[in-house]
Amino acid sequence: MRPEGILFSKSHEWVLIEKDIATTGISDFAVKQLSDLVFVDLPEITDLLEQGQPYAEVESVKAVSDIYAPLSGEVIAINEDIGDNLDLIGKDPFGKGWFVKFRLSHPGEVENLLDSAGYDKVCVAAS
Amino acid sequence: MSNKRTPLHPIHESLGARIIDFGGWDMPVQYAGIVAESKATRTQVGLFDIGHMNRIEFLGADRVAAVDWCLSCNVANLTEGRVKYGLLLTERGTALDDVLVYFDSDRIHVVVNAGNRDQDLRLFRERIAAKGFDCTVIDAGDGNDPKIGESLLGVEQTIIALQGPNSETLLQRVVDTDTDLSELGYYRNCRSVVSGLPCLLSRTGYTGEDGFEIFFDAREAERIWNLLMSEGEDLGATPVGLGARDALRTEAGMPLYGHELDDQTTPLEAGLKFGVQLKAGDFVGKAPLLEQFENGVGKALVGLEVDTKRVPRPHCMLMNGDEQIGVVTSGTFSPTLQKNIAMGFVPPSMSEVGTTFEMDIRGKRHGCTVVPMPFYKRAKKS
Repeated sequence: MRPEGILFSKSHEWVLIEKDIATTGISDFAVKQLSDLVFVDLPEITDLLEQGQPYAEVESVKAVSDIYAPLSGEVIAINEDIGDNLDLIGKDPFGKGWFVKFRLSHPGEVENLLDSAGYDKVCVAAS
Repeated sequence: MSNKRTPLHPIHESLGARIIDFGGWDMPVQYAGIVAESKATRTQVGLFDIGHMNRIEFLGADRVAAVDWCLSCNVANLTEGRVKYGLLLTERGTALDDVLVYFDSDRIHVVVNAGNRDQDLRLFRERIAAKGFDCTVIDAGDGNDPKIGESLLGVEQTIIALQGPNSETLLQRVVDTDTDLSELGYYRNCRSVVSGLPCLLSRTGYTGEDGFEIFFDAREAERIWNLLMSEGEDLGATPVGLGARDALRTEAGMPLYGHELDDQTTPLEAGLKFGVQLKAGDFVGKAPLLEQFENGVGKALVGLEVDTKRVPRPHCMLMNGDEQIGVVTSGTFSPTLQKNIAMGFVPPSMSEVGTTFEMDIRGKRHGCTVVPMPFYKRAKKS
């Protein structure tokens, strides 16, 4: 189930915003595409994210994929749990499978994101 | 031009396989997933559609001399039932393809890579014609070849590979009773009958596991695939795609044309001396190899391990300080060994096991060490 108020980028990241703090990860659709995950390379706390720019890498057996920042801001927390348990990303992409939390620097950027229904159309077109 | 498809394409689609382009062919890269498919091959038995590869037949009085002239391995001393690894080379001794030669009673078969099919066929024909050998070359994968009626099967062929410890048990269930597979040794071939169909069998493969390759009538591809799947249900028969095939062959330290081999690389540089016979007769590309054998190679293929969980991939640069000393040709997370593995070329002076330098993975440097190959070797049967 997708949480209420969740937003998506066209590049298959999700973001949930609470005041000026955002939590992000990769979508259920992205998880299906990236089977056989072996490693996630996350940024460090205080790293700056820029909307649309890669901030993390997901390695599968076959290929590496860039993960893009859905919004801009400063990283305040990273999910240490997924490093040892990549299954969390597949089992609970919108919950325990989150990647980073960051403090929004340009909240107005949300207008570039999609709601759940809008994102579904992107997925249909991509599959 | 649209991609070519093997006769098993409808099966791949019905299984929901992810399809990719490979050497101009639409091929399944994965079905259930690379990790699961690799494990099935290492522990049970995997079914591989390798109909994109091809078999070329050589008939005629001069066939042995003709194939011996075209390939780097010593074909002249092969005997019936043997299979030998060899290379098709440029005049400069660099690789145009790596192949398997099957010595049969009245003909020789050469199995070639998908992406090089047309080139290989043309070169074999040109080189044989130029020398005036009495040798007919038949494309066994082309039903329109004017000589297809003279080929072993008489019709267009396809190929399925069975790989894994349960391969022999599975194949024995579907071959005619005259064929005892326990008598067919590693790198041997024989003619047989599978479910009423004449076929060529070989105990070969590209995974580092025991296994077989079955050459048979392409029109029967779906029936034979379904038969192997149903007969192999209790043996764990699993469809395996090119993704797992690539991981498995990398674990086994086997070269892939286009990665470890290309027309800028000699077999001596790629560590494939066993596919080159310099003491026997002449072949295209021999002179430069002899010179290289005397004077040493310019680069050497090595196994690599890297000090990061980021996965090494082809084209990653190998660095010694500010100097690029080499490049990664294959790299993957190894599903069997649960660690990152890679192969790459370095100067011979840096190829000793234990030598350390750095690998640039997408802009970040990581320490790496030369390690022995292969990364994986199956336990010998007792």
